[in-house]
Amino acid sequence: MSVYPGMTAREIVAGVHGGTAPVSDVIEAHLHQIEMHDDDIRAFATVNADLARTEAAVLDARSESGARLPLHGVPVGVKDIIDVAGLPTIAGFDPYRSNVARRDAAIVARLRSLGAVMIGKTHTTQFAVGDPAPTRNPWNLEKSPAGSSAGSGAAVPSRMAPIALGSQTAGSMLRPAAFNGSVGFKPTFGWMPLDGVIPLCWSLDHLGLYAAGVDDIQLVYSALADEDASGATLRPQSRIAMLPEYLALSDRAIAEHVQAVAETLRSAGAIVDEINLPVSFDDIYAVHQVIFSAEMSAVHSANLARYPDAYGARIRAGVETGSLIPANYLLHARRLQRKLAGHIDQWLAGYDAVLLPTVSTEACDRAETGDRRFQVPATLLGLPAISLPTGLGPGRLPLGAQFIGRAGQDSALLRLAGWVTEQSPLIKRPDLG
Amino acid sequence: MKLDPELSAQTLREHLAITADNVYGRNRTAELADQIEHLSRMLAGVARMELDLTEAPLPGPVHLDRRSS
Repeated sequence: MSVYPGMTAREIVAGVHGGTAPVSDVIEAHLHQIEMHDDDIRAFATVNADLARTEAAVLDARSESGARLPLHGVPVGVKDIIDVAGLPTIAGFDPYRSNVARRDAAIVARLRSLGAVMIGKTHTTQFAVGDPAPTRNPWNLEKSPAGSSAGSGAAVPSRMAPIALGSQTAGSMLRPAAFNGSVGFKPTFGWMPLDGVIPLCWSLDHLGLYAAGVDDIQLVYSALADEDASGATLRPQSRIAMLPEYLALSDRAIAEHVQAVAETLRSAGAIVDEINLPVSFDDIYAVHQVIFSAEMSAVHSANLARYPDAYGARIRAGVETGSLIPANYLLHARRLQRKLAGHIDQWLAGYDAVLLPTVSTEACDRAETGDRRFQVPATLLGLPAISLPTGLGPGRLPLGAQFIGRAGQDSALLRLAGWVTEQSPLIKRPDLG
Repeated sequence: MKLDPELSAQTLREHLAITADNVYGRNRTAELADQIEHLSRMLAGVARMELDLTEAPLPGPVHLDRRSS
């Protein structure tokens, strides 16, 4: 097997296990891809070349002695709010440029123990909020890669890493997946550990995974969870709820695309009901925004007082205004979060998944990071969600179809997503020239 | 000043125009005013939704709470 950037994680593991793809070659191929294209894409804040080469040599030695790890030799890009031992965690914040992590975040340690190689730290918007990162969209350099996991979302379709870690507190996993044309998966709240990750909002922070295909997400999820989430399964009488309220708020091309995906799934045997969530879009968004603003302010107020000029305009305004929220409103919102989660969990018992556009528009211009409203329901309610790049829009930019599952039913959602991609194939990655 | 959903955007802007321009400059005042106006709408949305006295916030992460129930 020849080794090349753009190999899927499954191909890499098969090649390493079969002795045809040395880990050192895999790492060199991806470092070369980063060197060739990252001046344009700017996905990486820090490239871990020396450490990655050292780890690759160790993994090759283990391979020669018979070890077969589940993620043996898979390069992983790590969002730069997540600690990787020996590398700085900058978080887009200049005062942290020398903030070298002394140990791995829990999720990084776990991936490393499974054989993955952390190839570098990917750009984030400052502290994973709204001021755009330097990253560019690989489909059109003048367009936004979204945020906050901009670098991770762009690194995968740019073939710089087959797997990347991101985070989501509003829409920061799924929106970059849609804008950059990668598969983005946000598991159930709390499933991926947050130790060693710079927090934004304790009640809403999630980690997640990017890959080029659902099967690679299944591979990593299965390894992390130690359970088999592979396959492409539609249960008999599977029901999917498609949300008219969200389609009506979308650009026409997005709404028509998601309706076309639904029609394809219907033709293949799924029952797709057009029905709204039992809670309005406005109510979900209001509860999220109050919790988000108040907790972000609590996290950052002291740091803002210490480094007032280092904060970006948007996060600074958010921290300052979040401090004006009375405590009783925050608690009311936290009580509503629980009530809505319970209510929707019961309602979801009748469905295998909810289908809606990942974002209401195609990728916007780089001065913005895009509309986060459609990603908020899964975040607020802690539900697993996946964005699939199922088409291209009128601007020749990727469109994302979002599927949300029941809490704790992550592997069922991944198998359903596998089935969806068999019926409605994903777009190919962009040609970077 | 504390936020209140009854405050109009106009009142908020007037308040900020008096107190914030001198501290932040006009561009920052506009950014803050936009954010406050947004949050004020969100607070009003939250305040509209009623709760029973017995409904508490989550004691911990959502999934842990669900798994224990």
